[in-house]
Amino acid sequence: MGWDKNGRYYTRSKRVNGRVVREYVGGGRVGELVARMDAIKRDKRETERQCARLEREEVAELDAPLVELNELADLLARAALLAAGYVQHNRGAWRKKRG
Amino acid sequence: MADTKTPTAKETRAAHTELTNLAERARTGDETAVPLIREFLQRPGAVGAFGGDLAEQVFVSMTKSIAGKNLGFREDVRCKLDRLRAELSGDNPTPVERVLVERVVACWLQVQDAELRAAQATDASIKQADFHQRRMDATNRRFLAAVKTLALVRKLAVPVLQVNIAKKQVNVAANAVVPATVG
Repeated sequence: MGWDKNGRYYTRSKRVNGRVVREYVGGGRVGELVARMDAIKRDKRETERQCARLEREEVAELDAPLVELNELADLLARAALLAAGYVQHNRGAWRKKRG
Repeated sequence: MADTKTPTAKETRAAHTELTNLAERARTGDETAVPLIREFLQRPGAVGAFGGDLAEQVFVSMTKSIAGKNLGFREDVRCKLDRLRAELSGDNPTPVERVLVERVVACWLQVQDAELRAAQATDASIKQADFHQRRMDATNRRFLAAVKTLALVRKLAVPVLQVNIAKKQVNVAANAVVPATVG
């Protein structure tokens, strides 16, 4: 997106069937107006991207202690079952150990 | 009986490492590790080192995330968590069961957070909606796995006394009350 090399026409690039095609929008007031609208859209998309990234980071921070708690609880459950004389077969069912 | 002393981070790490090593030895067939695990689980404060502070950290941050600045709603969520914890714990939970119950409650709260965030993201991009959907799926899976583990430990790891009375087999769990009319 931008003005052509002479600064007379505002153009947009878009992909059609895998090829980049340049679309001539117009010059003068029309070109300026469309350029501003495109800039606003770009800003909006960038803000949305930033918000989404922040939310993902927030969620990751929120979930981190629970990941640790899950590991500890699993370890404790495994220990309790081993202490009760059970063994786990190939990460599957727990069975009472013979003998 | 709850452990009154809160373990330090160093004690928690040491207990974690010790139990991990013992569990690994038992997994690979070392018979001598099993009595040591039993001894570890009966040691006062050892189980308390697992998850107490972490669970509290999860409850505080998740409740804050769900309720925001609405303190009334935050209190409602707290009450709901207390009820859930009481229902799952029963009358006489073992220290191991207590940790597993805390985990189930924390996972339940995480499911609520994931569903709330997904419901609120009405004008999200496809990528962000996909992120919410995947988080919902993952939290649900973890919650179900936590419930399953609690049920498994309750079913298998409880010491059971087997009594044969008049050719009828009666299994009595350690914390169950034996009916007077049996036999």
